[in-house]
Amino acid sequence: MIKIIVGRLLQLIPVLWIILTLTFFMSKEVPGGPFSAERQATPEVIARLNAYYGLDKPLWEQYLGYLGKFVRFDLGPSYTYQSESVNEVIARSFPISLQIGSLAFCIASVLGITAGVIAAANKNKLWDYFPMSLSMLGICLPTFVLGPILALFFGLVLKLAPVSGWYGLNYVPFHPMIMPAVTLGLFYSAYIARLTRGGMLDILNQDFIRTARAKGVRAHEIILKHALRGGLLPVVAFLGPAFAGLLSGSFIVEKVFNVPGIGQEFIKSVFNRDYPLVLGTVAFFGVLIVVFNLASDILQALMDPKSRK
Amino acid sequence: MLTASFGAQYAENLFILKGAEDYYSGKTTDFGQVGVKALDDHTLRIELVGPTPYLLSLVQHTSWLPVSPAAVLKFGSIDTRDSKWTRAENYVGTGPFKMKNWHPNDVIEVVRNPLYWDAANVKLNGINFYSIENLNTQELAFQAGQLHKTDQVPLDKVPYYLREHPELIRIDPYEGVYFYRINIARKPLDNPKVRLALNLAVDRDAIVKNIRREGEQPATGYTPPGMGEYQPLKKITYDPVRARQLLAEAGYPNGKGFPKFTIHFNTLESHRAIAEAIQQMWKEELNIDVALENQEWKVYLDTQNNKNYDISRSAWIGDFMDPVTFLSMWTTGNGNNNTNWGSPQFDALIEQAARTGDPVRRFEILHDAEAIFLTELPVVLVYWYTNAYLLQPSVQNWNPLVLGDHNYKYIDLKGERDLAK
Repeated sequence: MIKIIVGRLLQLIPVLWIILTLTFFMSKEVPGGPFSAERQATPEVIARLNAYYGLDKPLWEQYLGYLGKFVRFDLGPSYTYQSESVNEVIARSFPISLQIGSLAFCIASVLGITAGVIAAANKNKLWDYFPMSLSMLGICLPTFVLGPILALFFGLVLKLAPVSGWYGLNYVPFHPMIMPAVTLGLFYSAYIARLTRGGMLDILNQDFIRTARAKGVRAHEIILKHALRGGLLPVVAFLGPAFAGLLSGSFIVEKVFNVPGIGQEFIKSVFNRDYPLVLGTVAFFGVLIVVFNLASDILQALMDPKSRK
Repeated sequence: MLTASFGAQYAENLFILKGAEDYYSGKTTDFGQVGVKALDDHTLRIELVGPTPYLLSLVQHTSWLPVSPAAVLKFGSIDTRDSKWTRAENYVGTGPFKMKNWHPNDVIEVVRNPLYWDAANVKLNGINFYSIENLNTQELAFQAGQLHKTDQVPLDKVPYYLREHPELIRIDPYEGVYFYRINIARKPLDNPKVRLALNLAVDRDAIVKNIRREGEQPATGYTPPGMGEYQPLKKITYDPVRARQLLAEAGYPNGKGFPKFTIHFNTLESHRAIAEAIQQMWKEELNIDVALENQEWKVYLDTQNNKNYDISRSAWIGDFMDPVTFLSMWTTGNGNNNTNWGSPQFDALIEQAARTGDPVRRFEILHDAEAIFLTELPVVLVYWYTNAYLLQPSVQNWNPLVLGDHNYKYIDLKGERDLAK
């Protein structure tokens, strides 16, 4: 087991290298530079700015220079935030996305799994159709529609949570994360509910469940004790990448609620042609995805003796 | 500002100082050559290139705000880029409020500055500036009571507020012009008759009333109203009959044989709506076909700066109260011109105005210059800006300013002081 984990973590190195190389050369290919602006600076000034950041050097030299710094965990200066390094930008924006993502993950898991289990246990009855119709609705409603609706209802009508921002006037810890986390959580719970239902139905049709029923085991015991472990396998496979996705911040949700998370930084860095910030956030997301895929693989192996080697 | 490696966008605002442009462009590296010197603690002597009647308005622009050398030098030399002195905890300013917190992409918090020279007359205890890019989120935060003022109003909500809540919406004049650049190096746009025909075929009233709906004025000249004694020119109107006539004179009767060209704009819904309207007007009035192409912001800037377009959406916002903030960009080869247009006569008039001290005579010269510009027309004029925003009635002394440069020391809140703490 430990061997497998170490092996997978070692895979991170070539994966990161490939991601960085592709991103590096692709970002330089995109037209427009970090210093183009509506009021254009003279070519001489642009040249001096390029020289300051080493953008006048040959591309391969820039590339090697970047990799050299990267292995020392130095992600370089941000062009947009002139007094901050990329490390600092990630350090200040990631904790915010982490908080929102974690809460959203809990909401999505609890809500999604509960709804899925209830639906599977009541196959083709009212309590199957009702949660599954809701989840279909959830899948179809994009977050940029769901977000403002929730903000209107909970923020304006019920006044339960702020509709925008993070710090600032009357800042209460955890308060600003409610709306974005609920929006994201509801969205993901819709998927999880459908996956749970499918996984559970698969297991509930198997022989050992029929045997248990024949022996007179009570219905809720069958579900909780015997079926759940196997039924959740497809969900766990989904949760790993989903958690990584949630942690890396949703650009749309962060925009709708004006949350200064890492998702916004990533998208804006691309718009601003802030090359070091683009590369830094892409590498960071790469690590997150590899690590959480690994975590979900380990969890699956623990739950399913068949996949253990 | 004049350190080239800072790449300051508004460095040009200091070029009225002797030697400033030379220092900026690297012709001299001796800052002593620049016409500015602190004689003692309370006296700054500046030497100007020429008479500059708009100096007092210009020095109010942010590019002229003083910084504390001691605060800068703590974190490097005076011209170190990326130094830490601009962080909230290190920043030293001179205004009625001082920085308390800066959370990028979220909020800047400022509190009353006890060391301000006129601290006794500062009304508010502090202000929070939220950076909310999404206009709908701004509006929602305003409705939820999180904001006293928004920056703008979502375009489709303006009629609603004007109808239902006129006490919450304000529409102020704003010193800006919306126009299209014409690349005059491309045929047949090199023909001034064609350019005038394109201008005359645009029904600006319809655009302002049906698309913008924020009380903008159709642009009849380039420099917008509100520049003191400088009266805006009334040269461009909607005259489709004359437009067709001009197009025929240029060799394209009823648009026959007119090559298809493209309007190029940065991706934004309202730019598309205006471009579609103009596309339709040119089709209906002149029978010419225009394609539309939107590009992401930086790509759009590159296309415009490389003059790689036929017609390109543009706008210009004034920096100070003088027509020269609008006109000087059109001199031959100016970095903001980007149309390939140039006129020695126009350049000479701008140059002459810079040397003229008599304000009346100076405005006459600038009028002449703008008249040349509007005859040659390397642009399609659309409208003069307004600024629409939401404001809580509790906010006092928020007066319309065409440059939008409010001094927050005068702003007060009626009946909700506790909120501002």
